[in-house]
Amino acid sequence: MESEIKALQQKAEQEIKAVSAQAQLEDLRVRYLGRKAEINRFFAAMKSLPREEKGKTGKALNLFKKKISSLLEEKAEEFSTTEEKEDLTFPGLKIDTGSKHILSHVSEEISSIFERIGFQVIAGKEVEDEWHNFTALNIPLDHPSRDAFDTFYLDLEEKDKGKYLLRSHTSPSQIHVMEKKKPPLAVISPGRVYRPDKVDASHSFMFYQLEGFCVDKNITFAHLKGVLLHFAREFYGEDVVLRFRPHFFPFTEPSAEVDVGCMVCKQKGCSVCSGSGWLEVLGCGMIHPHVLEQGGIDPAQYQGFAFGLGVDRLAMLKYRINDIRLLYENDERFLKQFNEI
Amino acid sequence: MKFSFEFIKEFCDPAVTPQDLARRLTLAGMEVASLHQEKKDWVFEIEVTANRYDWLSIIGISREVAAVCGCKIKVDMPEQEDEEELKEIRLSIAASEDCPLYIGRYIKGVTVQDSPQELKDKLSACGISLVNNVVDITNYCMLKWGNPLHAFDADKIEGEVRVRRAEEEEKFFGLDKKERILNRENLVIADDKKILALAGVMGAANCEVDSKTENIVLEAALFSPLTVRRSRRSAGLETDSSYRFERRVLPEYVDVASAAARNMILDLAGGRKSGKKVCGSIPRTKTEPIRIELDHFYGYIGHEIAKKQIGEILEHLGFKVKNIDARALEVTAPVFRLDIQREVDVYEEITRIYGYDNIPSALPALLPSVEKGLYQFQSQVRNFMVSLGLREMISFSITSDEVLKKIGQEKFLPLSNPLRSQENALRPTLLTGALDVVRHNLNQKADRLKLFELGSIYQNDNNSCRETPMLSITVSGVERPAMYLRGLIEQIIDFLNLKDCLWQEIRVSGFSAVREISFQGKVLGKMGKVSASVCREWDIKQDLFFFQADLSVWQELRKEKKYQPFSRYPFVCRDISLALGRDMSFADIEARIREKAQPWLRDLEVVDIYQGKKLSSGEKGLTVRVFYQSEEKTLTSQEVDSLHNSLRDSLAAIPGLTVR
Repeated sequence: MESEIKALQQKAEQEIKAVSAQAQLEDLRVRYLGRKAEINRFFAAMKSLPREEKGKTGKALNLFKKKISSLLEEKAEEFSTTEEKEDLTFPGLKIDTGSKHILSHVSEEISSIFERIGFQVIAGKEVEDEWHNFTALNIPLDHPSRDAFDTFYLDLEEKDKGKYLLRSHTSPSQIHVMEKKKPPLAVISPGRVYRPDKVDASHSFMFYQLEGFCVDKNITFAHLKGVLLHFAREFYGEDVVLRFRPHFFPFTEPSAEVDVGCMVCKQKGCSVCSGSGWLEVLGCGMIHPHVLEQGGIDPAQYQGFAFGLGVDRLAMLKYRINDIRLLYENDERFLKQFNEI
Repeated sequence: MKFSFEFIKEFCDPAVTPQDLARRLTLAGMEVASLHQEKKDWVFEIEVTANRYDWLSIIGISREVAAVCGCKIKVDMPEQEDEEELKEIRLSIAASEDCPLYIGRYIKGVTVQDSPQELKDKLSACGISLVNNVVDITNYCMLKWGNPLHAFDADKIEGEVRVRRAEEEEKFFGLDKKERILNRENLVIADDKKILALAGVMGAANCEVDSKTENIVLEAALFSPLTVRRSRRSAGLETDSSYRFERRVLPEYVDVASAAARNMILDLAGGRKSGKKVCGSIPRTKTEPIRIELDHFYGYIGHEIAKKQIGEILEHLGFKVKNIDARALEVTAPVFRLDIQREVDVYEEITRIYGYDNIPSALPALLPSVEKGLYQFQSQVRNFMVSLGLREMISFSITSDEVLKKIGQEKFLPLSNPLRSQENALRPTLLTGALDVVRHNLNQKADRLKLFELGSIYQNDNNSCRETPMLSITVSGVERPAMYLRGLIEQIIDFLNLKDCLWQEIRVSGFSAVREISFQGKVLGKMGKVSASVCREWDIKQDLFFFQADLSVWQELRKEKKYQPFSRYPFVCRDISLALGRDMSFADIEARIREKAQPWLRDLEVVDIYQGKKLSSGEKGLTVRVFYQSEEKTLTSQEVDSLHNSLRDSLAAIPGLTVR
């Protein structure tokens, strides 16, 4: 009889293990431990067993009951925890995130690259006088070199530094900083500038520039190249290719324009770089001694470099934005694309 | 400026391919914007910077080509034997400051017809439109020498030819068949009866050289750059001629270009020369010697270039180079390089030909300044706004008087030269941009908007401009927008680490309800609901809430945070249901709760707001949850109940308020 009980126990154990729904578990409990359970047959038959067998069989039967009810309990426990299975296939809720404007992001990114090598970032004013915007920067008021700087004037009375205007570039911030601080200077000044241009895919009457400059006793053209190379490597990646091309700016001498190898076509020539393999990204040079003088700095003792770049253009190139108007339209579908940055 | 490879080859032999030449020129500062083949020639289009007036001639460009290719340049000067005095027509200068030199040459009996093909091809390649042989020759000589020339039909001239300023309202009918009304800004060439040319800019149609012309007066002159600039701006046009005069032409070539043109006319259009008249004189241009200290140069560029190489580079560019000693040179720029004025100008010449790419890169050692200002504060605020789940927008600082009128802004700074009337004023509030952006997005069916902007506003401050850095928050289409916006502002107050701010009701045009938030008399900002009439103007059909703040005030008031100990005893909360009477606001009961729930009030929250059947009309149902907590012990429910009941009783005594 003992072996029969063992066989029954094995069968029960297997069946309990195989259970996949709670209802089946109840069926098994009734079948193996209920009033009509097979086990009861053994209890009944036990009476007729010899005495020494009776003890053994009784023990085995009790063991059986204990084992099976504990197995049933365990299994039931299992069901109570996994029973209401979570459906993880529902779509995610729409999470409201905040985001920086892409122009702020790019401007902050550029600024922080220079900050890490010792530059200080200073906000500048947008309303200027003619002296700061032009004269102090070697741009005579009536000269062809001013043609690149069409300007919005304010309807305000002219004062001793000329008419008021909306700055047409960030370079006046050089003069403002020089007027307030003594060298060594290493400054970045990002901000809005204004030119009365007709609006189209690549022109806006308001856009962002970033000015950088550095003045000390022995700042050289080689430093200018090094600082801009460092910037380009951080901004575009270590394999960036740079080209310094001589150019003319009234406020720097020597002056250069800087091109980066087109990252779209890897300099093979494409529509973005008009087939040239190069993209012009900024203008720079050694600050003209006359400009230092205008800022109250003795050019016999100090020298320095300056550069200016268009934040809109850099952002557009980096993120392949093909129309500048997208930057100022503030369409939710545009703004939210830059959530992660 | 366009030029062709064959034209250049008349003066030097670069011995490189056009492509290689384009690359060399670009890297030396003459940016070749395009290069393409035209017939058997190659056409270069270059960008001429404002300082390089000498690149506005083929000879000038050839000099640069010679310098970058290391070859020699050869220019043949035209034959100039003694000439008779011009008798047929009297010439004079009445404005010698505007015109220091005026040369007229008379040529009789020309045959005006088409130019020979070779000349046509050359001019076309350089982008010059063809007229007839005489005019084409003047254009050819302008291209070659850089000095604009003009040919008049001599038989159409009546009386004496004078260079003078125009009278007010004098009329000029140009070769472009357009009439312009002139003024004293304009310098003209006129005879006794009429204007023959807008000096240095364009000839008049009345003395045009055409197929019937037999006798011509060839004009070559020196006009003041500033005069030509102002004159052509005032007349509203720009020509190849004015472009050159404005940037300066070589005085030494005025007579040369004229003689060369005369010779070509005699050659290609026949006729015979008949005298020359020179009014004024050739001003002497002189370039001063500049001393170059090699050590200073090296310390400026950050690289050493051998003295011998420096000498060669400068000589190729036409400089005279004199050896002073082992560490110094004295150099003199050629007369056509008046842009070279001091040592840094020479430094650029040396380095650009040496090659900027051959200068090494180095990093300066900078001691970072750690001073924090507005930029850093704005960045902090921007990050904080993003953490609150707001999206940054950037709108234009320029708006229009009409827009400002719609929102009731009477005071603003107008622009004196707007491009369009939609952009004629500086914004005195960030609201204008916000309204445009909300309208745009609602039109695009994006109706849940939580935006912020960092930007300046501009106000007239005693006849100068005050520019104030501001922050705005715009909320529309979210659940309970007013409470949401107020919640954001409470976060801001916490960010600024301020306590006990005042929320005062004020009136602001364009808004239907406004609260001004202040701390110790300083305004932290204003929040309000944009009025229905303004919303209608922008076609906005849902509630719009707006907050604006002066960041400089925030920057001044913000306090550094210190750790605040907090109670670790459990808190208990109790709800009170209330019905607010028609004219009551939450502020009316909040103060009472804050007073009566002491000393254990930790916080309160409105968990439900409802209106409806169970309430009489105008009443607003509220459920306020009050949080109690002690700093010293665990509160028992009896203690809390007793305080809470006395709070209920006290609220029940407020007239118009029902405790439910």
